[in-house]
Amino acid sequence: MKVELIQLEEDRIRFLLSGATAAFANGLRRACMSEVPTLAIDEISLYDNTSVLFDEQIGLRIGMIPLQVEDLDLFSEPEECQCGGEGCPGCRVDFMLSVEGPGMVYSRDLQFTDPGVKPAFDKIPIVILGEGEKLVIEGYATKHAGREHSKWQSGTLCGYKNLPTIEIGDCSGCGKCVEVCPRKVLVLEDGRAKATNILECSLCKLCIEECDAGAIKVVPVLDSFVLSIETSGCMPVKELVARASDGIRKRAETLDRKLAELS
Amino acid sequence: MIPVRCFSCGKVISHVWEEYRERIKSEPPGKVLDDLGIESYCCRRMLLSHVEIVDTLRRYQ
Repeated sequence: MKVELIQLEEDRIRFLLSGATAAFANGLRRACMSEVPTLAIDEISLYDNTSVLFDEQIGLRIGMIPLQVEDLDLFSEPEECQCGGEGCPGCRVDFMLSVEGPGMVYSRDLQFTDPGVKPAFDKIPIVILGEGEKLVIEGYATKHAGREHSKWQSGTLCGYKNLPTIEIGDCSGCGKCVEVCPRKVLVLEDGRAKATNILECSLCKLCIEECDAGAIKVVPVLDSFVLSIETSGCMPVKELVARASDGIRKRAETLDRKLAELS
Repeated sequence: MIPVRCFSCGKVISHVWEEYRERIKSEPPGKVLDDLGIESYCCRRMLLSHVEIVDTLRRYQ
């Protein structure tokens, strides 16, 4: 198996995975979306809410705010915690929110007791308060994976496609395929169509339909995949992919061990 | 209030809402969205189609 980096930014990555099966590529995609645990606000107590939104709406909005944690491994999921899920500093991070209007309440107003935890974005509007309106909330965040609820989802837009190849046979140089390609993959060179920038091809096959001579073939490479993965902001994308692959490895090892016990 | 995340993909979009709302007064919305890094059409429709009714609601509190 080979990995080749195409593009890397803070919140998104594209890489070429070759020599793997579709099942593995999909496993990695799904692990990024639903198996990498992160922190999200789980339960709140509302002491005062005179804003225009219902308590439940505010609870939902606060839950969806992604949280950045300095060292995620310091926390454990409540079910696996030493306290047995009752709640202790090892599996909970408390926060306070106390604001009086007028003005907008932002995610940056959340005051966490742990200095290593903060909202990934400062300017997420929670609710706008009018003159004299008040919002007082206390609650805690817990660690879970995306399979539990989408608020814990670390990878948002994760997808893959087969690496395409475009074979051009007997080309007349009419340029119709160049015009019809929505991703501008094809160019005319020396009176012949030529594929450039093959990674951008979305396998839409419009060029095949457009070619009167039937000279174009778009063939997916069955064991190569272009994966593109984005994070919600709770962790850098590098960490997300590393944690997802680590998770797959650990589960494979568990399976291996269990099978060995059986035989 | 603008939803915190995109309904379809889950990307956080609400943090650009205020800047978006100010800038579309003088610029075309499509260009502003490109500038703010809102690329997918699922996320773009969240901002494009949002109507703020919180201030209208307040009158009936």
